[in-house]
Amino acid sequence: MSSEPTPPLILGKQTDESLTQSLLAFVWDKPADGWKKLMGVLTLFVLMFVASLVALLYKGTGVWGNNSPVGWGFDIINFVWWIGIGHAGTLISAVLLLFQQKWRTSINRAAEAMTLFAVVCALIYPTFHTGRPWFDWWMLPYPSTLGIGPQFKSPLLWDVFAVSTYGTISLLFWYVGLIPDLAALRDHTKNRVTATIYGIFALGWRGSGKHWNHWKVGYLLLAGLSTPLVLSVHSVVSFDFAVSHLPGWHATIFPPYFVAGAVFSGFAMVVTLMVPARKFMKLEHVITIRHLENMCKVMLVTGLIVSYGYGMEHFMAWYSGSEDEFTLFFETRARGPYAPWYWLMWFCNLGIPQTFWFKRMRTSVVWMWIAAAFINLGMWLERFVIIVISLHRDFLPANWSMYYPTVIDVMMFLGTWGIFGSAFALFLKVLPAVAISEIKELNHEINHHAHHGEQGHSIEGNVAPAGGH
Amino acid sequence: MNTNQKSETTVGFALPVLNQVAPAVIPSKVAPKTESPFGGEYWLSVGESLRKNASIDPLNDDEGEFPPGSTSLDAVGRRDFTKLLGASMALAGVGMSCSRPPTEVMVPYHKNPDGVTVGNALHYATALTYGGYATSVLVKAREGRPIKIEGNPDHPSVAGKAGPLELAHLLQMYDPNRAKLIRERNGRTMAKKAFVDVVNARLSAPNERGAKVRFLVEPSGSPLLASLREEVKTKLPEAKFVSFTPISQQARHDASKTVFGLTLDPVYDFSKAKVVLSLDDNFLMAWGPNLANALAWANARDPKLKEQMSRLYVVEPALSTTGSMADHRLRLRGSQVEGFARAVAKRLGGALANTSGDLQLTPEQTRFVDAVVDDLQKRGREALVVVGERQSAAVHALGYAINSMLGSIGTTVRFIQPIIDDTATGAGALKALADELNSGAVDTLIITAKNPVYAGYADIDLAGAISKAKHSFYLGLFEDETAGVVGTFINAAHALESWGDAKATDGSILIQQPLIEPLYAGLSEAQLLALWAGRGEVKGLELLKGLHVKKNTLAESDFSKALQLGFLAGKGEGVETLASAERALGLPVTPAIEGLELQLVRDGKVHDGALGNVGWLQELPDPITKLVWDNALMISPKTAKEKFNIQMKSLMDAPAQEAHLVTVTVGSATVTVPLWIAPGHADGAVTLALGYGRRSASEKIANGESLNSAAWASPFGNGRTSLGVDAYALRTSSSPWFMTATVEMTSGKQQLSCTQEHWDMHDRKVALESTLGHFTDGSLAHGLEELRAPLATDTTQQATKQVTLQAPVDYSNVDYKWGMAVDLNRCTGCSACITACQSENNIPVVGRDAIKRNREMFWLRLDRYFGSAPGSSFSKAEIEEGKHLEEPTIITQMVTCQQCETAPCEYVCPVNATVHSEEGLNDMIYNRCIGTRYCSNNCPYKVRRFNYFNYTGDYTSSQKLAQNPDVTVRARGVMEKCTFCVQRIESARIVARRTDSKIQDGTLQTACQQACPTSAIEFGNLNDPNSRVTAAHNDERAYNLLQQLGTRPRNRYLTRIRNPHPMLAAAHAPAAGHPEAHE
Repeated sequence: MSSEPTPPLILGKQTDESLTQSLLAFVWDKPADGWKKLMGVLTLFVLMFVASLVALLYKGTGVWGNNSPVGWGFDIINFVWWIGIGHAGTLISAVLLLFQQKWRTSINRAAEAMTLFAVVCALIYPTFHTGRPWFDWWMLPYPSTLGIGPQFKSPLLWDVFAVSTYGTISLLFWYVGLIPDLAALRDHTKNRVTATIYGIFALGWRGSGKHWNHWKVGYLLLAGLSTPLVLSVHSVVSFDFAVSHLPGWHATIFPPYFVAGAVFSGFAMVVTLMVPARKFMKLEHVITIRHLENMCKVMLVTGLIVSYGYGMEHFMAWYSGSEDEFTLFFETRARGPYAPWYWLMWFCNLGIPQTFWFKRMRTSVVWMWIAAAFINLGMWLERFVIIVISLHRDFLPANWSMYYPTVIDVMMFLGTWGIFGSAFALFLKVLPAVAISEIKELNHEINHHAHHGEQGHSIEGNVAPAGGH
Repeated sequence: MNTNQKSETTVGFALPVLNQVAPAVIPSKVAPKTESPFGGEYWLSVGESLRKNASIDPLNDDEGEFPPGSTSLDAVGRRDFTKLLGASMALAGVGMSCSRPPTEVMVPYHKNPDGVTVGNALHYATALTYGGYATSVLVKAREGRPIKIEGNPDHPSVAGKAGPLELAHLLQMYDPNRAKLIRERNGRTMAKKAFVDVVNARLSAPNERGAKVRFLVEPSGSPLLASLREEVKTKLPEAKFVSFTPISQQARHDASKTVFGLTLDPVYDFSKAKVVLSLDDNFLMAWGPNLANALAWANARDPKLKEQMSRLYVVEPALSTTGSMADHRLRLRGSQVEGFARAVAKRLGGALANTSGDLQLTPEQTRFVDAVVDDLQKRGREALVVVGERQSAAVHALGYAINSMLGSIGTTVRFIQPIIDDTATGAGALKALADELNSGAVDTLIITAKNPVYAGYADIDLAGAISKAKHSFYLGLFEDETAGVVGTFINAAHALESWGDAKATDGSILIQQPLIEPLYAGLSEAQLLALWAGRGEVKGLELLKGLHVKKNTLAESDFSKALQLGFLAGKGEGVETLASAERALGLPVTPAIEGLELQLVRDGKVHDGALGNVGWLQELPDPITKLVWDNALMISPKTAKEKFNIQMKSLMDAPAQEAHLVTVTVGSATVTVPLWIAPGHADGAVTLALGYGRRSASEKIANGESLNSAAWASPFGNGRTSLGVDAYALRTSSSPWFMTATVEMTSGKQQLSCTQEHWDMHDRKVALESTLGHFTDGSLAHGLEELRAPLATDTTQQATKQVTLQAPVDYSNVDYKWGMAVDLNRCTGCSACITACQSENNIPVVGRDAIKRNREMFWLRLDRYFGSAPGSSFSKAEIEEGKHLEEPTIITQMVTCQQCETAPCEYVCPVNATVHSEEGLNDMIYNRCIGTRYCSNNCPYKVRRFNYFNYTGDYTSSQKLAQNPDVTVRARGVMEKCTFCVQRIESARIVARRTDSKIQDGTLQTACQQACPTSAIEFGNLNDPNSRVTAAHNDERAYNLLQQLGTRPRNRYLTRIRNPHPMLAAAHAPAAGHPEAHE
């Protein structure tokens, strides 16, 4: 750790009242012009999504660029990418909660919301990438009178369970965390309609000690439930590839490497979103440079794990002696027609995070935002490399063919951005982006320690992310 | 719904053959025009019932307000779009969107027609004629509609085989673009009766002797047509018949006339030939007349014959199917082949020692000629020289003379009376006719030849000449280019709809019987001639029986027997003769063309273009280039480098990506055509295939219009719709095949559709070949050990331990363990199997743009790899220059579902849509499939095919009739794959069960196996130790594809064996005792 004093988690002297005011201000204020413009643009993207979906349903999967041999293209790349992004939320909320990392409180709400919206975007793809989406329910183990059920050997089925469980728990966790804040919203509004709506969702929260007690237990239990899910979801997603026998897919390192990659991309997305949001919503006092720096440290660590994964894949390709594997890693990827994308992936995922060894880069808001954008791109390319490059040249050279996405592919991907972005913008507008109750608790703890002349050191000492050092 | 409809029981004379249970007389007319064979028409959906006007003829339903394809996304109107927008979103949610199969009610016959058992197929023998040469076929019919064409197993020149061209006739018959009416030039339609009156009026004119009447006909060997022509000549003594076909055999006939003094046709017996020299003869190209040759040649290539195994030398300009099978191949420009033939003749000496005009040989060519001469002399009577249709009469004459001198006439070749009656089939006759028309000497022209305006010569303005005729009539299947210039177009009956006869290449007379009443009440050529003979409208059967039963006094029972067999007893009469070398040498020497030479060639898919509107043929990958839907100008790597500075390096991986557009100019004609680098092409020459660049408005597939249909193309197609370029525009009557041309580069580029982007095998052990030496000394078998699973019959733990941890399923206790074997030594890559599979399994045609996106639907494909001769090695610089592509070896490998015992596709399916049968077949359940495509991703052979669009959704009623009812027609979003023709297995099982026996080896064939001209495919029961497939699996040449994956495939490949001449093989250092993968 550097010799400089650790920057604080909450800036300035804050009271419960000042925190409530400042953190709810964005909800109560009239929508800013910037927000409206953003929503306008995002709505166009959503409409683009709708148009591409209509084309897909009306014409068939062929409006995408998928082909034989590349049976999966943008659909599964984007699915895995969005699911990966969805990981930071749960990791920040649950795992850091269990490890009592106090610095999580300012960012967990937004990260959880991001998780949910990312999962929604992710789910669009497996739902509609099937040739006949209207029969998707055949993947569910319902009591069929035909006596035929889903096939439990297929990783796609595991996906159904893993992702739906993850989505459900994430939603519950987010919602339970929101309850005290929903009550605060209810209590602070002067409008009867909004008071009723917030009131319904606040489930009659009165802030009694009993409520807090039950809430705490429930919240912790959900945190405990979500923690293994962080590991399981992306492990299961990685089985979609690892269980097959395609060179480039068939690798035992996939589960941990996918999980690390998910956390990597998830944190990058949190940074991508929170850096501008914090500025627009004037949340610099609760989302401090210290939060951002910690996230950079997590990105550095997970980036290194991911790169280790790449290295191991190459090592195994050589060590296994398999001609097909060797060709894929050392010729097709490195020198094939998609090689520029492959090398760009290395640059984004291994190169860019190395700047975070330097405190100046870690604390530069502008640089970290740029770096996070690169990492988002890099992690998308990672999925492209795994899926498309592996599929486009497999065993028999006669089958080797190129894959090119279509306009609809691109429209749909940008459309999911629209869904994600507009949902996030709406969330910022109608719900507190920062968990007010938790911030107040943290503020209380800091003040309490300060009162005892400890300068909050014990809390400060807790904040160092375990993985970063 | 009219269930009281009277069943049609018109008695025909079509007799069932094979072991079908059916009475002797069955109806040939079961599918009436306006009613389905099931007794009515059914709505597919409520929407359709509202849309459909009950009075619309179901076979004409594409003739609605808009042409087919116009209701696609490209042309969605505002209201439709809004409807769709709302409906798709709403319906997607409640699970009833888009392409669910329609609910249909099936009603059986109210009264069963005699002889039809619903669900049982009947087979009828008939004949298909192309350019005058007929093939005996069996047509499979279900409930009165023909659904598949197969070779006639009883006819010796076919032996049950069929090529793509024959198979494609089925789809042509059901083609919705077919002409349906008699139409005059002003567009008015004419009733058939009115047309009959027109002819009769002409005939009854006073003093009509037909002096101004000409018939332009296709060459024919049909006794019926011959007798009708005689009848016409009796009625109109001064009328003349002119023959035309774009691929004329006149040079062959002229040569025969010169050296034998008689016009004769050769009949080859390749089974006796130990050495074959092909002078530009693509005798392995799969179409009717070649079928017997291909099988006989393949039988003589069995490596078990050891040193008696036949050897093949091929001299040709561009790689052909035959060239790809050669042990030694010499690239020569087409016009140089004559010089080569003269060089061989000269070296052979004897009566031919005085041959002049021989080619100046390079040292390499000299060694080739030495080897050829050595082999020919050594084998003598067992040698065979064959000459291709493009070569001049002098080369044919030399070929006959060499065969004669070697003594092979009588062993490997015999001569019979000519198959076709017309001897003048070349350009001369057509030119004379055009002159007559232009001078006004002729005022009535009746055309029954196939589309002469399109397929004619650039220097004969036939269209202009025809329009000068006062009366011109054209009998055709389509309102094509020729139809556009004649006065009256008459819609023809298809070969499968009409009675007739024809001659096969062995001279036997085939009977052509209809499978169905003419769908559009067309006339056959025989009926048209009968009209002009003044006999009025006569039924085809009456004409046929009039000739064979009444005139030739064939007994009625013998006629029935001939119908049943498909041919009359007896063969073409042999003629004992020897060629005169002196006369052969008397023919003038044609010097080789100087400068860049353009070669025209029969197309590997659509031949001369007459079947260009058949989607199966358009989409059939060319055996060598793997191009579909287009032709391109072939050029050798060296010439491309020298002339256009095209870098080979950029083409190595994806040759299909960018084809430069070049202009080809011959005389005053210029065409713009994409340039295609063709490995193994002769330097200093370019090759262009005939049959493309169609301009007929009605043939929507041939002219490329169908490619606009978004239903089977990407909605973002590249807009260029014409298919290929018209090579006939460059063809002159004086030089129909080889000519001087100028080729200029343009700045344009075009992406061609190609089913295989990669040329080489990347050092992988995929399609293997070895030499006879390695085969006989056992080193091949040793080298293959690691590529073989334990023998097919050996399922003990011990044997399988190395390849899998899991004990494999024991299939030894089931009755049948289905397996297949493909002999690469026999597979010529002719592609008959692909079309057979498409026809049998209802595989849709997807279009050019879909193939650009690699979405072909073939369940069975032929992978073609170029390689280098064993021992040859190239430096990196040479490879970048394309040196290794100059003399490549080439191998074709048929790949279909390998029916892996441990199938990687099965365990990844989330809904159990692909599962294993107890007999070890990897079954696909289409209606369970939701289309995740994971199975395809996990299939190492990539043989699964996905319905990216609703390819079968826009079938017209007639196209629906072409579908095999035993096989599901797949909807959009469903994965499909080869099933080893499970429907055939099940029918065989039903037959076997009825007799309480097991399916006997040989009684069950898959569609690909059945069609394969060289019998390269074996299929059967691996649990039967005596079956042929077991023997093939245990052959020492057998290996598993991708053995290292442990998939335990049920399909095995037999290594191809080359039989090089020691004199030429010595140039290459012999490789180690390993099968060589191509590099």
